[in-house]
Amino acid sequence: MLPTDPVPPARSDQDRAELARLEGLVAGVLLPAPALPGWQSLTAIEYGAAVVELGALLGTVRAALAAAREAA
Amino acid sequence: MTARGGSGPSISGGGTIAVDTSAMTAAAHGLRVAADVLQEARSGAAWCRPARPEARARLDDAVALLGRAVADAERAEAGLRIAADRYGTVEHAVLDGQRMLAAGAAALTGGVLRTVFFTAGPGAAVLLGAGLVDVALVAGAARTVQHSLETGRLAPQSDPVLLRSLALVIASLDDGLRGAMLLERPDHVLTDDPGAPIGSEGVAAVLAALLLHPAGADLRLERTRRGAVTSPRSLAELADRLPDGGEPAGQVRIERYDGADGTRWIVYIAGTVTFERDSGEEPFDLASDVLGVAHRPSDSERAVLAAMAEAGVDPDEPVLLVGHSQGALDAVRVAEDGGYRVGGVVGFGGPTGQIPLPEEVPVLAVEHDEDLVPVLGGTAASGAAGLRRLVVRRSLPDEGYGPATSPATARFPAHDLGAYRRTTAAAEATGDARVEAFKGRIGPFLDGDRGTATRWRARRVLPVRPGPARTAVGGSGPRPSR
Repeated sequence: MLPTDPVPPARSDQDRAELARLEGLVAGVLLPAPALPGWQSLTAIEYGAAVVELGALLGTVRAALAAAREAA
Repeated sequence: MTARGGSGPSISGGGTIAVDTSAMTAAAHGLRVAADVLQEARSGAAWCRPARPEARARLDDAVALLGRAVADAERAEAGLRIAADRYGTVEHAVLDGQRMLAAGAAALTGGVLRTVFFTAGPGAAVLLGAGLVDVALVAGAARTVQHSLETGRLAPQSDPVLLRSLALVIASLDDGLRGAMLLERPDHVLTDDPGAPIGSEGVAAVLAALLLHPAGADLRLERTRRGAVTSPRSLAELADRLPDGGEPAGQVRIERYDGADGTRWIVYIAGTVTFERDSGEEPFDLASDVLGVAHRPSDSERAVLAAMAEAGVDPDEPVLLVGHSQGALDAVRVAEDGGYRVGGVVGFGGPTGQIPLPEEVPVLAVEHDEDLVPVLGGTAASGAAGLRRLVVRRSLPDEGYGPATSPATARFPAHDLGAYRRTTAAAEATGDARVEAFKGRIGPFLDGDRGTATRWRARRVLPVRPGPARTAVGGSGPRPSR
């Protein structure tokens, strides 16, 4: 299919709905708190960094899904 | 290091774990759930193929990012679980080391006192012994002051540090005695055997015989209630059904379920009803506590066995034993010596850590760091025997003094059954694989089946005129198994 080909509207609606569902799924992911109370160790520091990084990554995922939905 | 801020339970395969790894295991569980949801989103995104190339390109980006997110979450989860396991292993080693040091110090002290006794005379030995006790009391008082300043309340009975010290002292008393008699051997220091000659069980038996209500009186058993019941579906529900022994209905509840594969039973046993030395007709008393630790037939254990026999429990039918405090001790002793086909033991706040049960009997113990009662049996069994026992530990927020407790446990709120119920529910909510595995092993008892519940009250039959005191202490060796 060429990029200029027309897209059937019904398919676009389904794609958008599915992409919206996936966006909601990712937005609903609850990450644990990055701080382990009372715990001071390399493990805790690495864990905290991993959770913060994961949170940022999920933000990028949501943006990519939103862009895909708008482009669909 | 102890995570004091977390209020969730830590779960271990045996013994006492001083390090509270609850925050780590809870975070690992949260990451596992997140990874599962992200994996579901990734699979859904991979199946979605929008027609527009720009949309497909964005979606491919999202799928790749989701794959990275899943991998990151799983890596962080695995790291936390490995760290928690390693902390647990190290703590086991530390606790074993503490116990060995205490046993060695006690044996040495006993030997020194003996030497002083024979070289400088009894007076010098008494003076030295009193001096050592004074040093211990001063150390305890200093720790109490420190704990009071930290918490704002005078409650040494809820201080985990003092409680751990008390457990070590209790577990080392027999080493001190053997040291004074020049009978201590290296294996006594390396491994704690409460049932050994002049072991802690023997010491407890002597104390019970000297100080407490004599055991062995005839018991009168009365069935007070009978009704329909649906079997529990969770561990927390087991705690809900434990009887209050102070109620007129009695100290034991027995549930019978007749399924297609035969009859099974759940026996719920109450805790100590009275701590009075002269406990009269109440068999769930302090003497039964001490005799249970001493591995002698206590009146409360005999009451449980009598109720089981009266209810019709057949020795070949599977039984789940559930108890709180003294009830937990009775449950373990019945599993050990009762001659029944025990399908599991669940104990809340019982002094049972030192009692290993056979591998085929799944055991779950729920204990609070601030609870005095679990330490009264001494230190928990270590090694393979200790690892067979699944332990859910929790350090209570505010040491249990925050939420309201029942009047019976007002001075010992960490021993409150309601607090134990909440800890058990929290442990189930973590989805920990070991808790789930335990629930799987006792699964037939938690199937929501319909059955019959009966309630039993046991009383001692008191002699009209004082007769010769009876005691269950028949020697220094352990009692024969029934």
